[in-house]
Amino acid sequence: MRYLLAAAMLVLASVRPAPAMPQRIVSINVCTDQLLMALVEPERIASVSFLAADPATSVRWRQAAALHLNHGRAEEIMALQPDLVVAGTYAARATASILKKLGYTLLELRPAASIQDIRDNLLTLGQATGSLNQARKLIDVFDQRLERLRYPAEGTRKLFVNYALNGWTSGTGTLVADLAHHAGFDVAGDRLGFQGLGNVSLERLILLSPDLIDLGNDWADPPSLASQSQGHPALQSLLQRTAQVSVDEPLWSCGTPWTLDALAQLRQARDALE
Amino acid sequence: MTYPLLMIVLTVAVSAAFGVSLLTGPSDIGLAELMSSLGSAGADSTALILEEIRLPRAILGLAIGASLGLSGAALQGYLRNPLAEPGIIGISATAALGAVIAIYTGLSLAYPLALPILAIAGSVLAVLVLQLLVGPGGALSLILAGVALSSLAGALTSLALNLSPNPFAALEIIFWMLGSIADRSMDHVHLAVPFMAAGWVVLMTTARSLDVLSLGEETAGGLGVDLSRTRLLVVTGTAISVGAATAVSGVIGFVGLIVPHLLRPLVGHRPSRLLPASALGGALLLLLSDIGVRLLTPGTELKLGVLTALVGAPFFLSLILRHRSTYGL
Repeated sequence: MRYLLAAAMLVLASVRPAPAMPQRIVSINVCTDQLLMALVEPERIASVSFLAADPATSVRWRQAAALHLNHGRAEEIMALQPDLVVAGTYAARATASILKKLGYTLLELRPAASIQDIRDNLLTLGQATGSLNQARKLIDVFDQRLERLRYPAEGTRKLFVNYALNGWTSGTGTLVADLAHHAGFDVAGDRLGFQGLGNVSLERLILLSPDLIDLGNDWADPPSLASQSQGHPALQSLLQRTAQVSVDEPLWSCGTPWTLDALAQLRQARDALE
Repeated sequence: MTYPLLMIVLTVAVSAAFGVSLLTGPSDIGLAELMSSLGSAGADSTALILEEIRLPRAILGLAIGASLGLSGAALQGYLRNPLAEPGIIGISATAALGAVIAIYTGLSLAYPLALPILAIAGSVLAVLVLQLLVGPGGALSLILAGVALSSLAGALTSLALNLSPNPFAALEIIFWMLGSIADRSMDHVHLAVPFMAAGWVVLMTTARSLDVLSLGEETAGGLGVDLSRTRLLVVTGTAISVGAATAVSGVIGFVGLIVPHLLRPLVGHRPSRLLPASALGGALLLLLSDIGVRLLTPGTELKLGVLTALVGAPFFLSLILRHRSTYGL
């Protein structure tokens, strides 16, 4: 009888999730989706957001396609009976606050605005999902690669401008700026003095005379005025005398271990400018 | 002020505004640099900014302003209605709808001329609908029909842009509703200015008929004015010039209303003199407004139509007050 009871408890213990090891994790943000896929084995991921399966927004879209996809709505998340919900601090706010009110365990991660934020987010998520060791391992590899890619501090910084449609570009305090700094570049915000995203007119861009330009996604099909503005003769003329790089946007729209691929591209472009 | 003197003053003012427009922008480019770089075919930053960004902007400001002023004067003269203006009676809004269809379906990428042509088709359609709806001398019904037409065209424009899968399209509703000539290029100048100029020529040929028409339709008919021919010319000229203007700038309201009214007393109320004066006046007003949006809110520029409406809408209201008794409004 005692053995039977012990055996039953053993079975129970294996069925009920240990609090430190959530078994049905749901992520509702494309950035936390990718961090989750980097840290946690697929069997424990109950669902990721549909954006995680879109090649235009996610590095891990192939991996996500094999998982259950959600649209971040409270009802569909509840139906999944998650024991941990991971969200970003900006997107799907209403869903996050409902889930919190209903007593679900909710972890909110800030979007990475620096390379250090990537490490912090990996550690926080690793802690919450019981994959702290995996997080530490990833960060070790990450740091070694970062060290290899880093542009020497004594070198002079050139100017890199990521010039997205309608003139949006990165300022200081952004992930792109941190990556650019590590690759030996300033960004437009460093020279013009703005934080976060900023709007730079075509005329100002020409006066900045950047050393490297990334035009980003041109959204050309179907067309819009914004996409057609990339054909402006003044911009085309500037591009003829400026080096260009084309970083795959998911690499740095979210801070993930793969963000270093973007850094590698920038570093390579920086070396080519010598 | 005599008529020749007025024309000289307006011409000088337009030239000066054109020059100031070339000198206005985020970067400080002085007069000396302007002169030296306009002469040379250099590829340095200053030349690039002046020739490819500011020059097309100034040319479009001038041409679009002239189109709006001239067609406003012609419409008011032909309809003998002080409230007629391409923006108010819905011609600009339907032109914008035509332009939106050309751009967002990708048609204008394959055939650039589709942009001005569809916009012109839009304004022709508007004029035809207005003629169907409004009988002769119906000042109030013209404005009401125009409001309805503007709202419908505006709604269809919003619908088309909201349905576009391009994430930027919906934002561009603002451009089409309020108008702007920021960061337009020489391509737009080449595309639109020839059409606008053709429209001006057509409108100017109506000058004498409009003079006679101001004596009343019967008198004009008796004096040998072919009314249906005059109507065709006014309609065609307005549709071509306003259509082409709207295709590259979006809807810019009230210019065609304000300018003829301000100038009419100065030209002795003669339509034949009002037409060229309004073209210059419209060019001046639009150039000044476009300088204004750059100076008032540098960085995030106001749309042109915001500024012209801030001035134009109160002016429109005061006109209604003044003409209330005349038209039984």
